[in-house]
Amino acid sequence: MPDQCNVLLVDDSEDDVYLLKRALAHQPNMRVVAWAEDGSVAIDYLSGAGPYADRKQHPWPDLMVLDLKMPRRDGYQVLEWLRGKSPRPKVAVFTASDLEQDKTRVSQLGADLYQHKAFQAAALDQFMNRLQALCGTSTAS
Amino acid sequence: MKSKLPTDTAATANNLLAAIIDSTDDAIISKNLDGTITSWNQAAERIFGYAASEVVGGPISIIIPPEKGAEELDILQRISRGERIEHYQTSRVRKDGTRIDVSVTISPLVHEGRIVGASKVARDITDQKRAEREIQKHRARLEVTLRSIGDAVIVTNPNGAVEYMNPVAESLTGWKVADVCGHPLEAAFNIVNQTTRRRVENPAARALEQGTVVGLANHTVLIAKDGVEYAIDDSASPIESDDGEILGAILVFRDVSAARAGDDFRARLAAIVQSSDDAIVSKDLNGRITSWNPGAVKLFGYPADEVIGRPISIVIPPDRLAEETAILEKLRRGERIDHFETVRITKDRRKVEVSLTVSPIVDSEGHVIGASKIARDITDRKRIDRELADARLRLKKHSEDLEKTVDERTVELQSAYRELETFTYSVAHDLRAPIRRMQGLVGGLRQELGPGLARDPAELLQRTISSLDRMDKLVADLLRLAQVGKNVGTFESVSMDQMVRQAIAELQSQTEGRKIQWQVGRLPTVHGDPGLIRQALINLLSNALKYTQPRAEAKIEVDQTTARGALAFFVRDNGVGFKMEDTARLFTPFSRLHGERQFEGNGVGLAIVERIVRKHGGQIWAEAQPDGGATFFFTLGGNSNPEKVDS
Repeated sequence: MPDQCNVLLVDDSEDDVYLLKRALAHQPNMRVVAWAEDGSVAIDYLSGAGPYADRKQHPWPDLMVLDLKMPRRDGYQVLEWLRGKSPRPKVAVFTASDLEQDKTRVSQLGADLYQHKAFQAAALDQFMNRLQALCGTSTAS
Repeated sequence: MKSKLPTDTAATANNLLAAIIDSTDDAIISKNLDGTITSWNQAAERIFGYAASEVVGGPISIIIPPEKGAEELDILQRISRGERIEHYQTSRVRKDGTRIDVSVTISPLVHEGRIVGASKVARDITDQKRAEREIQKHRARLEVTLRSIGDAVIVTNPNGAVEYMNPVAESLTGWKVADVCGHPLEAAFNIVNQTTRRRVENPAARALEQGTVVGLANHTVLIAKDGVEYAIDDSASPIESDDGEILGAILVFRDVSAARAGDDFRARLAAIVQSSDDAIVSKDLNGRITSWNPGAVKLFGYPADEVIGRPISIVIPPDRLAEETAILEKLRRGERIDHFETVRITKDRRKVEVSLTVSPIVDSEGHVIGASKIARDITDRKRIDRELADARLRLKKHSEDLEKTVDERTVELQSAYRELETFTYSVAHDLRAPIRRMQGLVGGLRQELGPGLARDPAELLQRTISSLDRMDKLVADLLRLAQVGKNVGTFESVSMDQMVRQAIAELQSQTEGRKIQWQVGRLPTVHGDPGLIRQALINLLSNALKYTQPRAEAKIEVDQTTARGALAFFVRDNGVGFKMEDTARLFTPFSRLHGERQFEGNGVGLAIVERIVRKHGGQIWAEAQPDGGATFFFTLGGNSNPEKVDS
């Protein structure tokens, strides 16, 4: 069993977050530390701005599951903001888009994983496995 | 004188006889058979100039011209034979040597049954002879006159039979006098009316009938013997003797063909001028109007009698009088003015636009004596020209406006189309998220409730999940269809071999557990969008896999061929096929040939392929038969020439 992995969920859909949390609940080492409902909140959380300054209450995430299409700042802007930042969490893009151009762009912006948003059991199982793999490398680095 | 009379009576009778003989106008001479004169009356003295005393007892030869001596001898011989010579015309010599013409009747003188001499009655016919010669000469002169006269002359007798024709008449009629002499005039003089072609009564007959000079009706044509026709002009008069007896008729006619043709021509010209719609006016070199046709009346409003003799300047606007001077100048030089467009004024002071053609009128000696002027009213034409130019301008403007509008609309349309594509994409995209979410939610529910669920709720859940899956697939396909329209991808070299391998690999989930015989030929490299081409192949192969499901072993062939004059690819299967009449519906979105229960699908897959092929400038078509498999062909435009086959 891999080590403890703090997860930040960035998605404007509460339903999606619910389903993700449900799937993650079956992963004992993964703990959802926060849910940011758009890119701006995510950036605030990561930068420790305002209420997020207290890392005890708002721990630094090892992994960020990032939606692309969101109000205010979208996933691309979050990726751009993260560029060159250190430390930085592993980023798994979780999006409804399966366009090649989105995949390419996301990978160019430094995302670690691209997962097509699907919630059937099989799809979710596959996603969880990939997240576990990502967490493993995270702890190794 | 054989009768015997009583002596006194005889003496009286003798005296009477002598008196008669002496008082007669004829010379009465007696001679014996040897030619000695035995008596010589007073008339003989007068006629021959010799007194009786001078010649009685002398030879008769004294009055006979020397060259006629033989004649006298002959006469004496005939007398001695008892013959009588009557009205013998000859000439004799008078005492003064002059010759006289005489008519002689010579009878034998019989005494007691014997011819003893001759009595000779001679009448001086010198005057008569002279008169005859005069007549002869006159007749000859007449004959020559008739011969040399330019007109044709035919003379008829009182019955209208031809007696004489002069050479002109012979040449015009074609008949010789000898042929028609004594025949009715009509035999040689066949005349008809120029227009009606009816026979015209010959004027000689009328002249004979009425005893007056008869002129021929106009437009008479003579038909000659050889059929040639002459327009003629003629007259006939009766020939009357001094006492009023009609002796015949004389018909005089002449060929007027040339003149009549000229008349006809002039008449036609006049008719043309009269009926012309153009104003035709003539003027002298001083600019005075000399003729004015109805066209001019109509155009300028002046009746002819009002303007003839007046200056042409009455129809010229004051500011254009200089024009007329220039025109007259040119005319004097013999030049003509063609289609000169100007303005003239009508009687009611209206301006009309006219086109003028002015030509000099030249007399027979070549002097310019005036001008003819043809004026055509071009007011309407000018107006039409202006309107036409105006209309053209408006049309041009309109067409420019239209073009601009079309351009604007095109931009709007393109923008609307892009918006629509974006909208379709967004809708499909946004629809997809909740569907996926629901798939997750329902899936989670089934997981939670697990195997403990009753059969009915379990089936409800299962059907909900299947329905969501189909919906998800449909939205995904719609998204792809919208994507093909939206994407103007960059074209590059695409290996078809590689594309087919990738597509087959991607369809692995559909081939699991099935027996499939793939038969893929060696395919070339083409120019195109790799993503789209792969999508097209996936859809075609997926289609083939789907419809071969009932087959124990599916056979799917992918290869190239030449079709419709270009390099074509094809995907052939041994599936259920379809009726050829259904091919048109194959590529229409949401249109399906099979029910959902038979073969799942939404009818978008082939529509996507069609759109991709069209994006590449190619064509797609299918061949199939029910239960006999299907073959889908497609070309990729611009790849019509097979390129090298990838090894």
